[in-house]
Amino acid sequence: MSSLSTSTLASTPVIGRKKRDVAYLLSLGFLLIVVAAALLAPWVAPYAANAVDFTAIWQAPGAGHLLGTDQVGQDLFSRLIHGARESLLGPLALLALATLFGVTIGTVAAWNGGWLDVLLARITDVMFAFPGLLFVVLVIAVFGKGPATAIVALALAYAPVIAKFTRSLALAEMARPYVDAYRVQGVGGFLLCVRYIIPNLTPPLLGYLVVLFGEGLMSLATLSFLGFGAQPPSSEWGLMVQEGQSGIIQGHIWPTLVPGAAIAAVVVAVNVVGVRLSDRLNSRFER
Amino acid sequence: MLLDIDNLSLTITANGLVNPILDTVSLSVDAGEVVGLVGESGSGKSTTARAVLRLYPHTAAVEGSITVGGTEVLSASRDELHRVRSSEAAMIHQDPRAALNPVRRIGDSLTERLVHVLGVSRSDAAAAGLELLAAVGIRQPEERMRQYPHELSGGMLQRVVIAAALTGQPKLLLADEATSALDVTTQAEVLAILRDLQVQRGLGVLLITHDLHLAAAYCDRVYVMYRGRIVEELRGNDLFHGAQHEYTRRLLSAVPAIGHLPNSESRAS
Amino acid sequence: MSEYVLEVDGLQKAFRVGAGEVVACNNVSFTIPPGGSMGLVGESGSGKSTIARMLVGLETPDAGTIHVRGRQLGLQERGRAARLRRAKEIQMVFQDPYGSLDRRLTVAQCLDQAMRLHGVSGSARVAALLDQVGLLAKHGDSKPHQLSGGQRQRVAIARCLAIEPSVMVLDEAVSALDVSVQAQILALLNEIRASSGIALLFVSHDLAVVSEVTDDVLVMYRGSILEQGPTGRVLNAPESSYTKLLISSMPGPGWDPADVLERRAAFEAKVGV
Repeated sequence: MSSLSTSTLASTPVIGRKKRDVAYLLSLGFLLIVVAAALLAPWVAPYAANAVDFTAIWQAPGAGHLLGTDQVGQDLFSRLIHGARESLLGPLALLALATLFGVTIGTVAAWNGGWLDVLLARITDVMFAFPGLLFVVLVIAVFGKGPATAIVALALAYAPVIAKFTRSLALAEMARPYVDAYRVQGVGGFLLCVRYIIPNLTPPLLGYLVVLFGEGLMSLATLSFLGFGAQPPSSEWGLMVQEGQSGIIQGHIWPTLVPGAAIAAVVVAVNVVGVRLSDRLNSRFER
Repeated sequence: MLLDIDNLSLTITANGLVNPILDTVSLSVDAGEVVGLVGESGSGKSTTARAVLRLYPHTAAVEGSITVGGTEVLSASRDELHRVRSSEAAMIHQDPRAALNPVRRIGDSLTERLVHVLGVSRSDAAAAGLELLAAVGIRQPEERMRQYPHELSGGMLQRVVIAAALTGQPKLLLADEATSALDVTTQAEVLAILRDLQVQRGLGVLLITHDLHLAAAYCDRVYVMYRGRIVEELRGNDLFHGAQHEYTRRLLSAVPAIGHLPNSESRAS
Repeated sequence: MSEYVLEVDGLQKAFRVGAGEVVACNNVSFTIPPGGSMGLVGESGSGKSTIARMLVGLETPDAGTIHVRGRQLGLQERGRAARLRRAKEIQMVFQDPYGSLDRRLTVAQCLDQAMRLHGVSGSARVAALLDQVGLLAKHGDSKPHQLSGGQRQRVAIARCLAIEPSVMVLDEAVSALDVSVQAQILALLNEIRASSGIALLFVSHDLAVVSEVTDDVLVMYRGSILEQGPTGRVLNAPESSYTKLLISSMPGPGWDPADVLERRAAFEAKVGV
């Protein structure tokens, strides 16, 4: 009964929730459209990604070219859609890799404690103190540039962050008596972690990963912008920003603005959805 | 009357279902009186206590009247409600660890209300904090003020919580299962202090408990709650022998007891 | 075959606290006969929960032996087979009915997984278990948060029974429940003991509860057993001054907190704390 009253008290006021509902639905709708466009790029895009047209360079958005053209007359809207695949799959791959490492390390550290835990704490401390981008550039300097290296390098940078988050969640989870109950039944450490503890961490972890997805998208775009990630003739969004840059000085802002806005819009939408998603999952799984 | 609850009804509507939580509850607590409120979980004990501070979900429909020191709580303005909560009535919960911020020192938890709510200067608040800790029987209060909650035992923490509840010099204490999680000795410690304070300051105490033996031994009067209603009011001494209502009798018969306790012998020794 | 289901001999455990050591369990020995029920009472910090946790393998004793049905349990199990063997001997019901069940699993899944771990399965068995602990078949589809505290504790008991242990340890298993629910669970435990012959070790701070379900009782204080004997005798005519103190500290007619504190101070002065 007391839990009833506290939970109702803690819930957000009705008006605030409605506003958030609208933001959530708009964001979700936007993301679905972006994903659909990425999947259907060859059919949806009016032009090929690299269709050069020197008769129509530096065009502003208009009827022929929905979002304008760049310095060699490539249609920005089409490039955006074609580039969406790489721009979205990149952070996805990066997160998958980082999650695999991070969740494994974090759970093992929480379960075993001892020197492993200390080691993890030291590594994460170093990673936090060391600028992530610098680390990534270092890895790229050793292994060469390209999208795959950029993804692996960023995954290595993100893994400790996820590991630390997982560790704190796992520690709280392991303090719950049901974990002792499984041990008393004779369930071993490995099975206990994989079958029971990690699934119970999923709701909060998923919300966090969605937010990290936005961050990953930005980081990958940044690397491409710097020339370390995607390489021409790709139309990855970060690379598009970089290529469009040369026009700014002459007053042609569209080739930079369009991919830049796309990145920002996706990141914001992903964050809105992520926060809402984790709220929902958490409330469903709590108690 | 210090606390007067008159025909209080509270219903919560959730998902189209109307849930009556409290049904025409009437009870009173006078200054200098310890009044017990007993019943099983879900009977509405805690909801009643929370309603005194107008702590109920905004979706609740409430009828009746609650007056604390003459102020009608249910229709009180923001300022009046603030005054009731800060200096008329205070609540003590079962779990002191949940009531104290784990990363703040005892002293900070104790004085923040004085500083931020009652506008006392920091040095005066510190002095008042020390005095309060001494009042709840804590030795070396200076040292305790510097400690964190995890460094203190459960009984000690519950005393800190009582001290914190006393900061606004309330006249009414609402103790919601405040000693249920404690060992018998620690429980006695906390209750002895509570009784001292109650006598010295003329406090009215509403003691919510599921321990019928405790209610009988410690309270002047006891109300028995069942499914949101008060089914019986008894003098503490009469709880075990004078109960008329069938539910009270059933509740009493479920209380585990040690055969025939040699209580009187061991007390005499 | 030994004449005892559970034999604990010379159990020892100390925890490091800062620079010092706290002895949670000091040379504790006791036995429980088949179908017997032993109470283990004491205040928080007396070491009673540590003993419970050592029995089920959640803590490793520093020294001592534990025999179940004449077979010695390892101090610490290594490997799947050894873990399962121990689980088959001793099971435990925890205090917190809200946290001791996995919130993701339905009741039926919870019971089924426990059985499958030990190589048995079948929905018929789940139904029988639910029935045995006084739950309805429909409760099998419920998740823990849909059940009351008493129902959850019944599920926890069913989960123990699913493994068919020789000994069941109940660590404050009814402390969080209302008195009427408490009475029902205690009745259920008595019934299970009578029908299955599972021996019970009932760990609790509540003397009255212990008196309802146990034949014998151990009274612990600061890691040591101060008194043991038949429950009726120990609680009605205690010999140890500590047992007397505990009993007289319980709220009852004529109880006064100030007296309790006085007696406590006198006791502690005597034992020299």
